[in-house]
Amino acid sequence: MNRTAQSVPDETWDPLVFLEPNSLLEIVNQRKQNLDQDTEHMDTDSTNSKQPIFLKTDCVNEASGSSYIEIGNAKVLCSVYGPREIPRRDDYDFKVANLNCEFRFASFSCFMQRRGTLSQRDQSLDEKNLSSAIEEALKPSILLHKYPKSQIDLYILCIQNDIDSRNIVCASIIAASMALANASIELYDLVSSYTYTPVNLTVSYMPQLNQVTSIHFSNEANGACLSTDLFKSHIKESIENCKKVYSFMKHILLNSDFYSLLKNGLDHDIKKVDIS
Amino acid sequence: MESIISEDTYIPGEKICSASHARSGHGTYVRDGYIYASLVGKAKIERELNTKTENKTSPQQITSLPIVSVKTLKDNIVVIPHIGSLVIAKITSVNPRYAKCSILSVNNTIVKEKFSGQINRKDVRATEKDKIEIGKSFRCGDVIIARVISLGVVIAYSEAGHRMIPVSWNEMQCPVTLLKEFRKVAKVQPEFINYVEPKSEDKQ
Repeated sequence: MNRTAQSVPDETWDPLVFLEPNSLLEIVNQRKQNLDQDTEHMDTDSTNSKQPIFLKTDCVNEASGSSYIEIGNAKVLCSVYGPREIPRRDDYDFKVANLNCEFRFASFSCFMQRRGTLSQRDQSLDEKNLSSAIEEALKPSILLHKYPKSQIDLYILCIQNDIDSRNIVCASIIAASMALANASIELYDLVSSYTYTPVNLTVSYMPQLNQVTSIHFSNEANGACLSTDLFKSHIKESIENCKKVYSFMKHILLNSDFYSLLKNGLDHDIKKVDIS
Repeated sequence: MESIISEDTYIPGEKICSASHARSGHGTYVRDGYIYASLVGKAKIERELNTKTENKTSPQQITSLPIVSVKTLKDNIVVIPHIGSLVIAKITSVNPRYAKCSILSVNNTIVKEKFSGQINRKDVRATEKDKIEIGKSFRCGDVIIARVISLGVVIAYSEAGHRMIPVSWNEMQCPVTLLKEFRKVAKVQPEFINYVEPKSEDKQ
């Protein structure tokens, strides 16, 4: 990239940096409250189990498959490229495809701005952790052996982060699964996901196969522990919610514009065809 | 061949039918005796017409079960070059030992992402392999048609004289002495499986 051609100054600061520490906290809290009000306003039920979801496929023309999701305040865009050739033929298993998952926060997505544009900065630690969590949740759902010697790239961009990064993992997993299905990559099942927000417990689940693919538990905010019984009940509840999310995902897949196209494309084949 | 396309759309993980009634084709997988869809699309059932079935012996009748596959939107098909597939490619670089090419289409479907291939000197033609010169066969920019191959051993006998079984891509094992020997094992394509299948040979 040609750095001299950039119109942005070399050094930039978040305007909040210049504030007094106390007033900074106030502003951050106010922003959080505003976001909370938004969700409560949108919710029909005030409990967190009823988060509104918006889901759409086919958003990025360039990609093989893509999807966009909003859960609460979290907004995530996911695009799938591939299967493509592995660029460096070194230490890969050639019999199965290599899933490459990259999660990024847009520089404006969080409360505190992240420095630099996406191409300038490397993945930070939290982005890397989220990438591996998402990859772990999705890998069991893909028929990787069908794509030997190739790589499937999954780019997930967080456009808006929620309070304490809640819902980000589950939104990314749902978006990625929808994007994979949209890219016509063979899947054992769609992966549905749900975050139990009070303790940030994310359960990813394949409803048709009745298998849990991953449990992601990051309770950084509260630092509290969970008893085994409580943990079990949370997981059961999450799985029930995953099933609800799944029926919504199914509805979107079956009713997107993609399907009206499919219908037209196949019209001439619907009659019985005799090929000697 | 006779084919029927279902009215309803399947999504990955949906059960299509029992595996005893049909065989699993493209876009499906078998699990616990049932065929499930692995792509989003309409199920397509293909059945061979029963004109010659009376003459055929029992093993072939098993294969005449209908094939169930899932058909997606046409320009959304994902293709990657497999061993045995027919590809159209463009030569990108030539040197005395091999030519490199980038694959444009696989089995008449255009690939979205670029795949590269390599043509070794000895694979250019079947006869007079010593006299092949890459420079006189290809030039950069030529569009060629080729078949993806993988060389290797199909049938091998151990030192004890028994027919060996492949155990990995570079090892074969003798069923009697259990000794392992190194070989470059081939991936046998479905159309050649009749030549290689040990059972059919043992019968004769």
